[in-house]
Amino acid sequence: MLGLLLKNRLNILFLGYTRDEIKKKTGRIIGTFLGIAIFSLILYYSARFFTFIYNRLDTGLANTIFDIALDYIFLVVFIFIIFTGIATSLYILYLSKDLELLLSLPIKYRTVFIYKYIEALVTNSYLFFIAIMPILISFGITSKLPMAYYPSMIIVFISVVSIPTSLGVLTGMAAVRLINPNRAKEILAFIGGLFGLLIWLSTQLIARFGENMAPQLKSMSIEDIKAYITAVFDKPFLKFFPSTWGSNTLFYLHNGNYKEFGLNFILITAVSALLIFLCIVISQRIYYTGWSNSSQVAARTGSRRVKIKIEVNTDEKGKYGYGLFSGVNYFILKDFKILLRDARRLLNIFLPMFMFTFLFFWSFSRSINDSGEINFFLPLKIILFLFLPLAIIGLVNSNISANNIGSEGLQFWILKVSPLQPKIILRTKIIFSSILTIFCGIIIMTIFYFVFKPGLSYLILGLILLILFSWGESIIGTSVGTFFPVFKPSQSSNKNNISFIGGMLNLMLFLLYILIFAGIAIGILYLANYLNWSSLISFPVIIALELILDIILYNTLVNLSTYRLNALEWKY
Amino acid sequence: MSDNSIAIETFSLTKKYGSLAAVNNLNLKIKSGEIFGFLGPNGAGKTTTIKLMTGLLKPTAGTVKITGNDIQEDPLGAKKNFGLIPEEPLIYEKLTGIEFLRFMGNIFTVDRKEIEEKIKELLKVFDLTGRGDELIQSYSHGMKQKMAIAGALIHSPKVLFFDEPTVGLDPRSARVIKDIMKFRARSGVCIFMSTHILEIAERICDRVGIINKGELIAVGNMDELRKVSKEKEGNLEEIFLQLTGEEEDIDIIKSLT
Repeated sequence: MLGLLLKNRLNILFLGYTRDEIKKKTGRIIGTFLGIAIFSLILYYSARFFTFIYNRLDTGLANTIFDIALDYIFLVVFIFIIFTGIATSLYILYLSKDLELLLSLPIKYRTVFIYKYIEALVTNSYLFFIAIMPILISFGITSKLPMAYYPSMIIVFISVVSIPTSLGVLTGMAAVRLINPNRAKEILAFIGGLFGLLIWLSTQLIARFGENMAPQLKSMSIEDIKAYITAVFDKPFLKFFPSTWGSNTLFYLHNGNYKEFGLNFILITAVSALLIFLCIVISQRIYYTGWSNSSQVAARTGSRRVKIKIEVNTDEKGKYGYGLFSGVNYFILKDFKILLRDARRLLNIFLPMFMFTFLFFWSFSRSINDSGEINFFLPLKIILFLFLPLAIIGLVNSNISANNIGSEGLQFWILKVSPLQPKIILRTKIIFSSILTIFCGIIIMTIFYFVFKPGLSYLILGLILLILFSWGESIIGTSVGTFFPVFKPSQSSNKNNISFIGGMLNLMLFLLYILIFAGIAIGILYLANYLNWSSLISFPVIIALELILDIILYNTLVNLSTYRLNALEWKY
Repeated sequence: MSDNSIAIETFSLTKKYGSLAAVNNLNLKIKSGEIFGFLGPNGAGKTTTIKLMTGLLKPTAGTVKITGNDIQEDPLGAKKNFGLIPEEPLIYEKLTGIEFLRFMGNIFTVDRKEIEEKIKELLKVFDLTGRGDELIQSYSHGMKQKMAIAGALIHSPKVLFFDEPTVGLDPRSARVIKDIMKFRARSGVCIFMSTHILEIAERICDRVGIINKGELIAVGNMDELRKVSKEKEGNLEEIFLQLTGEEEDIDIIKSLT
């Protein structure tokens, strides 16, 4: 029966390439070719890399580098799958659309579970397969390893990815007993995203470390370098990670140390098999009941909340829907509520902001102090203070505002039948993304203020420019998003609620806008310096010109997109 | 009949996708206080008609007037006066039930005090009291459907569009919906309902329209339909099958059983 299910899955996959809508079919074919191209490129470059380090470096040093690199690559894969794997497992085991059918068919629950487990394993690991397999293959080829290396390599890879998948599945099964799978998936995806950020930061630290160490390494002997690298990277805790057993298996096979190879191979495969077995055994007890109860979790919490609600209801008046948040403003409140409850969308918005801010400080931290000394017509630090935050929040804003309409998702019909002018709807959306961007911008600008110390007058100018820029960028993003919305089946969880063309257009318009916006301000500041104007003259002139630019944008783009919003049909 | 009593009016309403006419030259007049059943086989054009009437789709030709307001020319005037309950309860899953109802009440500019009263009343009617402060995403399909209906009722519209209203509802809720329709119709609300369940249509609708392949093939009360179909004693099911040319299907079904 499992074979039949897998065959059917492969058939669905195949039909996706042959019978699906032309757009989806083309996307899949392009994606597959892209995957093959990436695989080939990694294979080629890693083969060159291994040839280089084994030909040019001392063999012992090359082995040390390879050993440690393999340990860390497998470790990253291992930890990454643990975090992201929980969310994937939850989705595949509890939220897939085919579960209702599968669990109603005369198939053992165990078989359905194993089938879903395999699906989770493939989903969790296929990207790593594309990225890591060519490295391992090229290592085997360049080191002229025996044929036994290749099956071992595949078994080790499957074991390394199956252990975190099993742990993810087990955690997922436990989590579903406590909270709704939808909510659990979001929370865990959020944690996964934060972990991704952590990995990114670690790579930056390692890169920085390498940069700093490079001059010192040149003067060290091979033995000292080996000892140094081992002391820094070869941490004892690594030995307790199953991923290290996997990397050791391949490393010892390469070294011809068959005793250690055998030991590590048995360890990794045995733990992998044991965890899969444990998953299957536990699933028999809790998987089906977990799935069938998951839709009733709400019912349990609901009955618990009845009393709470009665108490809350009396003093709840005024909390929602009143005062500022009445009428059309409720649209803004609705969008905020939805955003705050959507962990993945929050991550999509705020993660780039933190990354760009960090990236800036990381890249320029050494030159920030020096920049104070560089002078054009103004000190460079003032120019950086005024416009770098705008560039960062502009990128954040284009993500929010361009999705303003598309993120309504399949609930867009509510917006269409509401008795509100399309222009008013667009205005509320622009206000929503502006408020969010201004909030983010104030945080970034405050940080930049303490770094650059440009003075209070420039802080005030910067904040006013921030408001004007957020407004203008929101107008552009919302308008482009209205022309190219993509309504996804599940609302707002995915950041791509705008078509590819729309996304590109939005990016180009954003770049053009920031160029004009910054151009106006810098032009006036330059002129003020040339004509010896005081800030009391130059700042208001800048603000007035930027305001005029935004008003022009508002009147042209919002009017155009009003027609578009009016003309958008609801075909779902 | 004065013009004021006409709640929904369509003139040569047509929607084409390429050469295919999903709805072709539809002319209807439905009075206030009337429950109008819109029947047809799958893909006949029922949902498309509702989408055209509510402004979700733009007609290729023709017009729709809701309480005298052209949905294309004066969309806001028309939209203020109707509520839509789509077949699928596609509502904001990240809002709680109460927040969703407040949102709906607010965009239809219902008085704040009235919103709170209506929320209590609707939650009670739909057996959702105590569940209103939970996120909609945790609701079952039936509960979401009830919440969508509650959302459409909160501003007491003059016209209600129901697309397959009882799909996914338990018998009690289905009964509540039918009672609401009758009650609202008695107070002058026009109900336009598309359904597959002929028994419901026969029991509660004042008039029925039958659409097939985008064409309105019959409209009237039961007696008028019997005349058109020449099924003098037939019930709505027999009339429907006769008019939509699906009687031969029955022979196939009989041969299979």
